[in-house]
Amino acid sequence: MMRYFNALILILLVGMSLQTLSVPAAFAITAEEQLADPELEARARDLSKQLRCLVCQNQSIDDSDADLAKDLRAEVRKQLLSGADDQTIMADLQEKYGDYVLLNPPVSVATIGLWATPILALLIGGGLIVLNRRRVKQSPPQSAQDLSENTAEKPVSVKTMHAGTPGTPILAITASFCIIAAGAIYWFVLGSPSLPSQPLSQRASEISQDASQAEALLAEKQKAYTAAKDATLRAPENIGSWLELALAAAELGRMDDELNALRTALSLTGEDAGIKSMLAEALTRSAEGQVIPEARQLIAEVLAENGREPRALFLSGLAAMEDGAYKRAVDNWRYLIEISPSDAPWLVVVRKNLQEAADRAGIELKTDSDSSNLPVLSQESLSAAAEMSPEERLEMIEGMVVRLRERLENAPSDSAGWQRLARAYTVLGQPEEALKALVSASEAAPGDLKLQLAVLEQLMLAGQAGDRSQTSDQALANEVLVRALAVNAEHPELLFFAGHFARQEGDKDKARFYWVKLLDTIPQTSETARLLQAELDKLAR
Amino acid sequence: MARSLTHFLPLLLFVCFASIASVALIMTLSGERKLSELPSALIGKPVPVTELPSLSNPQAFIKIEATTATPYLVNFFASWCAPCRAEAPALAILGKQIDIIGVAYKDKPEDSRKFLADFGNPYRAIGIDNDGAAGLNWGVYGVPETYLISKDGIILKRHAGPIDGDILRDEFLPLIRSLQDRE
Repeated sequence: MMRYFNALILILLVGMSLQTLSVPAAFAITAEEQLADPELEARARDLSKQLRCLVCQNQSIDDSDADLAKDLRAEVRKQLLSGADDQTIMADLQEKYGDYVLLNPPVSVATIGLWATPILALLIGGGLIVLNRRRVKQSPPQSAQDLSENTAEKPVSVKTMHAGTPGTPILAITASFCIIAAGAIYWFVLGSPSLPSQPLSQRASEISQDASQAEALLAEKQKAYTAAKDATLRAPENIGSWLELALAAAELGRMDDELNALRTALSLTGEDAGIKSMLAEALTRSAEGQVIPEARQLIAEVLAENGREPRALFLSGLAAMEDGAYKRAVDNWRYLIEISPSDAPWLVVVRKNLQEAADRAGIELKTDSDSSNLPVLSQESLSAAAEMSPEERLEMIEGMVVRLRERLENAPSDSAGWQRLARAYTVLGQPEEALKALVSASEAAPGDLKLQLAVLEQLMLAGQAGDRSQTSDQALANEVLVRALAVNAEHPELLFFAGHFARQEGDKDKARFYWVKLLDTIPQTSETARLLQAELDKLAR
Repeated sequence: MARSLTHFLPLLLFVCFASIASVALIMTLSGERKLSELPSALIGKPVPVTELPSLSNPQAFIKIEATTATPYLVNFFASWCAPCRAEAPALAILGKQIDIIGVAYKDKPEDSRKFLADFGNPYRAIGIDNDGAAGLNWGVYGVPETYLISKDGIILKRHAGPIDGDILRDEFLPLIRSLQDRE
């Protein structure tokens, strides 16, 4: 035990001496600040090292480049020149800036814990060691009782025991060495004051590189803008080039150009809702977030045409906020979130705004965790797809579908995700995969009656097309029916499907049972009732 | 008994230390304890008597004195300081309730004037602290900083950083109201 303890002390001592030996290489002080009198300057430097820069907080004012540190250095030197002694200067600064300005905190009631902790730790540690040794001397080594106790408490340590010492937990010692070693490594890499400084002058090239990069980016934007402008001059009828010009102008912050380009594009398309909402957004941006009357007019027109246009919905929420109609803003943004693809780029902003509107309106928002941040099939990637060749587009969509599928296989309870996958497969012309995904969606949400009905409908259509294995579909249909009937056994559409699949299975009684029940729920004189009656008659034969 | 005590003492000490550290960490993470917020040395002490050239009339001087008729605020600002723009609305509200003396900290007078023209002038009087010497006397470590001073010239409150709506509502307004009610 003692040996380990000695080694520990040695490590600590070596660490400490290294710290005192190494002198920080960086000085923030400049030549013109220094005093002519070398003795006074030395005192100034000495004082500066004891004063904290209140801006950087972990540097002395001697080290810091901050403005305040410079002021404080000047103040110290001014007072030195006027003949003040070191204590007076420190006391004066302490009075203005508090104890915090001193890098060595004074011993006071508030800081006594800080100063006493190391001494207490040493005393307690030493006391424990002395106590341990004393007990070892007193108790006879390896007495039967001792051994059994040790074995019971620390079986690992019995073998490594020194004669007479109580059990040495080898694990604990290894662990503490690891911690100390890790701490030492960490300190040498990141904490050591002997680390080379990174003065501004040496980083100049790095900084100028950053600056030139920013410049290049700007030039590139400028170029894009000029190119777009040329394109509109060459082909003033081309709506696309006007939209490109609007984008390029927006990048450069040329508000007027952007508005002009959008207005031109709008007049060329007639009344395109998408461009209208873009224009409304640009107008709002140009009014620093205020939804001006012209923008409101545009938003109203867009929403009248397409109530699901995200940009217009968002702006209309903003307009409502501006009018103090927080409830309306909440409704607007809630709806927008509901209809947005779950990875839409605007969701973050909308959610934040929604929260604020809800706070103002005093509405408690229900947190829904299921539809957050799914990385596939976004509006943005779909619109990117619009610019590709058909083969590329197909490839991209297929890639996205594969990724979505992989993700869903790991999280099969995401019903909405499965439904999206089903839609994607339908777009790709793979109805069998689409059906499979739909079935998974219905399994993930057994309480969703609509979803179950959709599966049943697809199964029925597939069965009628006759290109699928009847028996596996039949089993599948029965499963879905059980789920759906558990939700609502009276639903007319469901009753119809139940009868259809019972007949297909050959269970005429069951089919009759469901259809008779269905017949009771619909008006006797309707066309459906007549057709159903005919089917029932066929069953009876 | 003695044996079990010596066994558990280190563990006990560790648990004490760990709980103190956890409380501090939790408070920091929840924003209750702000690492950048520094303790103020001057609270409860008399104002450092300050005399500064006036911004509106460079021949005249603004004097911040030990006793006045009413409580007032001293606000250090600068045109180059972005948070000062952010607190302009809050100062406009405060300016209607209490006198504010502005100190243009390390700022060119023409820049200060333009700043006031752009963002409003809530101040009853403005002094120019060209080299930051007054700031040093007040223990300013960054603009904006705002001090509330009682009519006896005692610093009651100091706020470093911009005054936002919450700080205005929860800290300054109640304090000012209670001061004014007392009269």
